[in-house]
Amino acid sequence: MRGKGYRRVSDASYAYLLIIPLIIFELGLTVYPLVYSFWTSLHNTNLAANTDKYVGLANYIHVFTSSATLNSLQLSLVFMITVVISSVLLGIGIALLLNEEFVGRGLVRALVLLPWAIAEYSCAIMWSGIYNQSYGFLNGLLMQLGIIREYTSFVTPAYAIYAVAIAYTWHYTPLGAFFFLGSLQAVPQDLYSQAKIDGAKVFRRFWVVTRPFMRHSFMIVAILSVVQALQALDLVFVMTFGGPGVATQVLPYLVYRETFATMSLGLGASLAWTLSALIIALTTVLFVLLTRRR
Amino acid sequence: MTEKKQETQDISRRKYLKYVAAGVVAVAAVGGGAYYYSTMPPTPAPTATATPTMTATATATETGTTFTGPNQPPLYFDIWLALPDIVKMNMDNFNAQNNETGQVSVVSGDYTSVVETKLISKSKIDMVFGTPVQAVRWYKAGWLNSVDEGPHYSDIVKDIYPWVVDLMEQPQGGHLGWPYFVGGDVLHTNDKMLGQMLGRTPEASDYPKTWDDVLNQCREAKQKGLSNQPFLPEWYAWLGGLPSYIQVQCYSEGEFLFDKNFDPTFDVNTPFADVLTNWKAFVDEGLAPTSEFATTEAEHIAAFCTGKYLYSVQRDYDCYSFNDPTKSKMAGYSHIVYPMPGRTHDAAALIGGLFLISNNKFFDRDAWQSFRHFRLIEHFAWKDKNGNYAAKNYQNVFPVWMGYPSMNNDPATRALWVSKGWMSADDFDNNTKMIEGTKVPPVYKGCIWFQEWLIGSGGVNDLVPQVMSGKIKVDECVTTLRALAVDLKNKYS
Amino acid sequence: MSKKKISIYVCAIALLFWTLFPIYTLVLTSIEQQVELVSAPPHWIPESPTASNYLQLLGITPAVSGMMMGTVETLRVGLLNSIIIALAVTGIATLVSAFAGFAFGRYRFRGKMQMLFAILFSRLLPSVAMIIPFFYLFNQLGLLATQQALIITYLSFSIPLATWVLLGFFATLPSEMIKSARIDGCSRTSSILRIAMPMSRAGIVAVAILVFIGCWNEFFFALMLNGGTPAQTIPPAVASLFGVQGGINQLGQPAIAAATAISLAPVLVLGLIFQRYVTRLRIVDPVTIALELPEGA
Repeated sequence: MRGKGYRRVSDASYAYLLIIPLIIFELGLTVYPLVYSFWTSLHNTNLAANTDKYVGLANYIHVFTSSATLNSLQLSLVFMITVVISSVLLGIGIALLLNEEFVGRGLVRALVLLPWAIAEYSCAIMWSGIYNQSYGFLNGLLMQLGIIREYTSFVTPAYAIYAVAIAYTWHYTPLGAFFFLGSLQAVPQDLYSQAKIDGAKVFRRFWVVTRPFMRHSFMIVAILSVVQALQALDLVFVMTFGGPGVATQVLPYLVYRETFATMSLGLGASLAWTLSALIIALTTVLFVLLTRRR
Repeated sequence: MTEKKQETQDISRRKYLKYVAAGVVAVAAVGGGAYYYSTMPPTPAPTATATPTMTATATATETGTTFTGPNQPPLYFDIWLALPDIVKMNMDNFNAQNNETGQVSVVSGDYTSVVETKLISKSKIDMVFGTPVQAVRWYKAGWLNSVDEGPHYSDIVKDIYPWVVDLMEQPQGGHLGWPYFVGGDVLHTNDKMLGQMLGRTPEASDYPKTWDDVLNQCREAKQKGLSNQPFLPEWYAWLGGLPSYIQVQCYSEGEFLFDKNFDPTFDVNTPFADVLTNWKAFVDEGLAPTSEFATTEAEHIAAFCTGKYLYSVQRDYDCYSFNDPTKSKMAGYSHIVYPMPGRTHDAAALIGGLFLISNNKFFDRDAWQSFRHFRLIEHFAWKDKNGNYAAKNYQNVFPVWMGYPSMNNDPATRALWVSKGWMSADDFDNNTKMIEGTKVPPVYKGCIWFQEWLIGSGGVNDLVPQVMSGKIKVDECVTTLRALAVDLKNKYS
Repeated sequence: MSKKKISIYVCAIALLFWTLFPIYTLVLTSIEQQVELVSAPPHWIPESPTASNYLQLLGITPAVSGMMMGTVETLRVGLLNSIIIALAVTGIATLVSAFAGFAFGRYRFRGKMQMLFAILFSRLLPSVAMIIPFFYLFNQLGLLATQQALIITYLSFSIPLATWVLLGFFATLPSEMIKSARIDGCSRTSSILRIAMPMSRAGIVAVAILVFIGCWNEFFFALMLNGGTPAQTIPPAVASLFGVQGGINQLGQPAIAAATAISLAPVLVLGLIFQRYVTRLRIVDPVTIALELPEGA
């Protein structure tokens, strides 16, 4: 009979066997675009002008010095911060609510996930109908409630980015909420009773008992929402096409514009890699900040 | 039991070795493939074109050629989503009358990139729709065929509006295509609100004569509490929106933006700046909604149907929606202002869509295949074998004007449209007059970068909304756009 | 009722309103005539509702206008393509990621951490930039504008995601049953197939639904790779209806809303099913899994 050593090796080999299809597939389909687009970003490839010369870092320099990039960066950050803060706070709130016992909780829990199941482009269509300045439902609602006297525009150059961020939050929050709910349900009930006996009020109970259990899901949701918010393109694409003018031209949309509108593949690729660098940087910062050992 | 366990483990090990060997080979292949693709030049390889297996027999005579040949491969006609049933009806007629195999397919999504991809890769594309600014680029790239070579070219020229022929003429020679409809953006009224404002039924003389008149009447409407934002400009972010509207207003002020050499004629002291200032006044006084910049064409139409606006710039055929009681709150009250407000009242009925055929030479077509293509486009763009205008079928279901005076002056058409409640008889006559008297902006004759100047990065579509929101000044915008035009011209020459 | 209970119900109602209001407005738009839609004040309950948009779009009654005819056809083709592509991707991805997730979740082997993070970071480039390379790849393979192109593309997104979700799930599977099956002479493969997989049914179903919804809703690649072709899926079809660009628009807002609602219906149903399963999926830190592990199954 073979010894323990043999078993462990063949367990690992067996593991390799199981994951080989995955690895092969992923190598082909992810390494290739990464390499290709990085290669393109070093050239001044432009399909319309039919150029394809190696230009080194010229594209990147253009990206960093162009005012369009600055505008898009600013918009992306505003969008991201709005979305992350809103969806995390709202998500925690929803999770706390759904953790309580009440009549109809199952129904509410089932319905709450719906916005996430609805595609971004459908959200864009829905929210366009809500924000519309002539016949939109938000206008109608606010006017009937007496909050405004006249129909007004919401997707204006100044506020469009926030309007889009709210629509995105509506779509995205349920995912975070369910992560948080999962964590909440792992909290042992007697810790709460203990804290109550010790005289802790609601908020203190949350801070001392609940929060440590949520640290993990908080990190996941925060990182996930940062990454998603910075890459969000569908919603902006269908709802505002970059906004009144360029008022919602977030970075992914700018990449789209550079790549497809002017066929400057090199420039678009360099912008995309810059965005990726930004995402990696932010993710790393968040990861480090949120996984500090106590 | 031990032996059985060993057996299964042995078998696993053998299987494992086989799989690993296969896996290593696969990874190497994929890795090599990835490396190969990453060093590929960016242009995709063209696919081979189908070559006919039979040569055509041609008997040339003085009055025409009687060609026969195989009706393969099928003729592919790509359209955008506009009255596809009529197009299919016309294609069925074409197939029946000529024993042909034409196919219509609707392209949804980004029409331009789909068509351009097909043109570049020479795949299954024989006739397409196109706007003039798109078509010019495709023609310059050599993907489109001049319609001059069609057998009925001179007949069509005699029949069509002269300005159409002028507009289609390209500097390098040849004519771009034939319109499938003509018409442009016009100023529509809401006579219900106008009547409330004036205290009596509005007449044609009450309509604004200049764009400042529009501004003043809107001020009055707001002051009288009739509307919060009385003006609905066509500012949506597609070619037919802001870029179209700005041209309409500039042309009506006599400003044609570019001369025949495509040099900019506008500057800070020209009507172009006046147009922007006029628009800014609407925004600053709260007379027009800035959210219009981010809307869509369908929403723009529905917005005017609310009846909350006094005036709106819309496509001429959209009176179809404005006067429909199931769609609009002001049904029966919307009219078209004629003549076009502005200093010179010049209208340039920008051709809405063209029939374009792909280049016979580029696609390696022989004489027979080329003949099939011209037969196709001339059927659709002009008359079928029985001498009836194919486009008549459009006019039976939708109020869209055509490129032929005989079609637009047909009293039967006018009676039909009026009876369906789409417009009044006066509107019909007025718009026909506007189309007849259309001017031809020189920039449409061969300028391949006009579309980029309009909707490209840093172009009109990007900058004008920023002027309206106060981010940049009118003068700054005009000078930037002027510099951009000069840059683009240099870039593409 | 205590103050706490009241505030819970108030919050629940507010939450329901926030969640359902946009969906309600979409449905409302789709069953109204446009003249009601554009009335002010808004008709929250339509005076003359009509299901004609749905009936026409689903092919139950004949289309009344040319635009509608074209839309019906586009929608039908889109639904078909979406179903085929989503099912194919779900089937393959679930299979592959079940085994892969099992391996990552329960076995220790060299290079695991590296592979895991490589999979994670393979998604680092925004999808916008991936379009062109994919486009050329499929062009070379002659797969442009086919269902296969999207199937391959979506597999490359879904498999890593599904693997990550499932590895956490598998890692927390109790190993007693599997161990006892092995002791009874079961081979490794069959112990996985016959014991571990059925035990993880909930997780696998949840992941399958996740993948299906993701494929059904994917917009950008569908637009760029297949947009406007016979292999077009629902998202580009509906989105281009909404932003009808150029041409002649006869449809009206209600029909557009109805088309959107039809494209939503399958995922809504799936989403409702999914939430029953998702609460059974425990969120486990994959890094922890990689570092500390139970012994192999």
